[in-house]
Amino acid sequence: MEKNNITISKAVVFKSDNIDTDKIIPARFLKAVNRGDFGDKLFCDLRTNPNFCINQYTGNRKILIAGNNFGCGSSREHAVWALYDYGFRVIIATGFADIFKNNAYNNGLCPLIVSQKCVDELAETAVKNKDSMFEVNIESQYIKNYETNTIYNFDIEQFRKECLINGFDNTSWLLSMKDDIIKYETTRNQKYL
Amino acid sequence: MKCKTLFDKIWDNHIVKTIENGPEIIFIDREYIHEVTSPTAFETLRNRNIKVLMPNRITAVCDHNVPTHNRKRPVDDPLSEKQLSTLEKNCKDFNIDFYNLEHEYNGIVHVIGPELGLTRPGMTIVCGDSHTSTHGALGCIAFGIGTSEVENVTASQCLLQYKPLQMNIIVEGKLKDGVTSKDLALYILAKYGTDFGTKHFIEFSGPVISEMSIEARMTLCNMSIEMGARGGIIAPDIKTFEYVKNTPLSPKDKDFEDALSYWKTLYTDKDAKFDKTIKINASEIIPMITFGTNPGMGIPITEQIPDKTDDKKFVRALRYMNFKAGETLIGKKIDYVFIGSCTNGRIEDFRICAQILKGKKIAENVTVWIVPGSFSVLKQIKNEGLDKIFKDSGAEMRLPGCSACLGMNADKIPEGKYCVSTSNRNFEGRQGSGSRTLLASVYTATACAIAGKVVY
Repeated sequence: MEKNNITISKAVVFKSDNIDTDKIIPARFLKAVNRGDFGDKLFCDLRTNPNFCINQYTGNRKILIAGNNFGCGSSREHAVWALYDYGFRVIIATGFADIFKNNAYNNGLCPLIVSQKCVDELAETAVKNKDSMFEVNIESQYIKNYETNTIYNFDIEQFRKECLINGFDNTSWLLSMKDDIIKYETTRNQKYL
Repeated sequence: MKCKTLFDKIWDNHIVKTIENGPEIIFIDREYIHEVTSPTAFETLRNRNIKVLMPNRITAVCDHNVPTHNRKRPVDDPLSEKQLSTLEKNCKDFNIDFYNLEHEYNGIVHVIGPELGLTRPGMTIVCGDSHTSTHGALGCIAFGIGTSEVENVTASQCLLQYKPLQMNIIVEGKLKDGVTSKDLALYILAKYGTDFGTKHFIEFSGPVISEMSIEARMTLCNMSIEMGARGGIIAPDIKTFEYVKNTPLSPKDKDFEDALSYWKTLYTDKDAKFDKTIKINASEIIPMITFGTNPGMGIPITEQIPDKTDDKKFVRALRYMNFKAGETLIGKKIDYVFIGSCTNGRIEDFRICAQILKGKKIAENVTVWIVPGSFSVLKQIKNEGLDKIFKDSGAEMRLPGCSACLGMNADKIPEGKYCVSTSNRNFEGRQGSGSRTLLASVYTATACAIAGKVVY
C-alpha cells in the first residue's frame, strides 16, 4: 500500500447523498480477475452526461468532496480501486457506508468524515473557483482551504492514521500475529464454531 | 457480571487480541468466497507468497455470474468464464472446498451457507458480498467485506475490526396475513431511510421476529445492509436449533449437544444496553413496493408517490422510473417479474409463489423468471411438484444463481422495462442498464405477474 499523508490538490465536488457503489462502478465491470486499472470505469454511466462533475475539470485532482453516506450498497472494492486509480487520495464527506470506508482505508484512500459546515464551505469554494487549492494533512489532522485560509480539524482513529501515513497493510499486520491466532483456535475448545 | 447483548457475547468470544489504541483482531469461523470479489485477493497472496492459513474454514461457490438457462462450459461470456475458472484454480491450488456450477450444493452463497449447516449460531462469518448480513438470522455475526479483507481473512483467518455500535429494532404487534418480512424491511427502510443503521449492527427482536420462520428472518437480516447497518442478527431459538439440526453439514450427536448447550446462552441479557432502540408496530404494515431508485423509496402499495419535488435526487429518481409524484402505482403496466435472489430465493418463497399461481396463468405482457436460490431449493421445488405449477402458469423456472438481481450475468432487464422484483436493490441500472425495478414481496410480485400490472 502506498503511503498517504499530505495531499495538496484542487478538488472535485460531487455533493449528492447516498451515492452507491453501483454508481461508482457498475457490476458489468466487476469481471476482472486482476487488479488492473479501473480509473476509466469510475462513474462511467454518469460520465456520459457532459455536465457530470468530473467532466468539468481537467488535470489530476486528488480530493473529492462528496455527499452523505457515500459508497453505500454493494461491498465491491472495485469502487475504491476506481476512485484511487482515477487519482483520488482523499474523499471528504459527512459520512460513509461502513464497508466502503474499510475498503478505502485498506487501499490507502482516506475517507475523511467532517461536519456539514465543513463540506458546505469546501464545496462552495471549490465550485466558486474551480482552481481553488486544498491541503489535507493526515498526520496533523487538518484540512486547509487555501482560498479562504480556513483550517478544519478532523478526527481519525490512531491505528488507521498510522496505517495510512506509513502505508501498512492489514495482511502483514495480521500475519505478524499468526502464532496468537493459531493458539486462539486450538485452545478455545469449541468445535461447533 | 456485566449485562451483554447477543452481539457482545459472540464478539467477545472471538477476540484474539486487542491492539492498543486500535482495532481488535477478530477470529473468523467461516469465510465464504465467490468468483467476483476473490480473484484479486488470491492474486495478491500469490504475488506475496502467502499461504492460506486455515483452508478448512473457507467455502467457495460460484453464483454471481453463472448462467441460469444451462450450465454448459465454457459459459458464453468469456469474462465470466475467466472468473469461474480462476476460482476453480484458486480453490484447487489452495485446497479450499468449492461447490462448482454442477455441484449438488451449488447456489447463491447466502442461501447455501445456512441450508448446508455451515452457518450456525455463535459464529463469525464473512464474505466479500454485502448481503452476508443474511446469515445473522441464525444468530451469528455475519457481515460483508471488501476484497482486501477477503485477502486478510484468507491469509490469517482474522480481521482487524473496530467494534460497531449496536441498535435494537423491536418489532411488536402482528404482521397481517399476506404481509411478510420483506414488507417489514421495506417499511423500516421507507420510514428511516438507507443510512440510519450506519456504524451499527442491528439486533431484530420482539414477538413478530419470534413468530417468523428462519427463511423470513433471513430476508429481514439480508435487507439490514440496505439500512446502512453492518449486519443484522436475531437470537437463535428452538426454530433455529431445529433448522440447523436438519442440515447436512451441521455437527452431529455429541458435537450437536455441546453446540446446543452453548447456543442456548446466546441471547441479549435483560438489562443490556444498546446505543439506539427503535420500536416498530408491525400491525400497521400493509404490502410495500418501491417507486424510486433506492430501497428507502418505498410506499404502502395503495398509497400515492409522495411529492418531494424540491429534492433534486427525488426528481431524478422519478424521471428515471418515469413516474410522477402524487400518482399511485396500482394499475401500472409491468414487463418482468423476478422471483429469487438471496433475499427471496428459498423454498418458503417458492411455496408462496406456487400457492398463488396454482391454476392461474401469468399475464401475456409479462416475462416471469423463477430462480431458485440453490440446487437444494430446486430439488425441493421438484419434490413438491411446484415446478409443474410454474410451468402451467407460463412462468419460466431457471437454474440457481444470483440471476436478475444484478446485471452481471445474462439475466438482464432491458432498458426502460419495469420489473417487479423480490430482490434487494432498485438502484439505477442494477438489473441491467436502464432497467426499472420495483422491489416487493413474493406475494406482491406473484400477484403482479398474474395481473400484468401492479396489484395487491
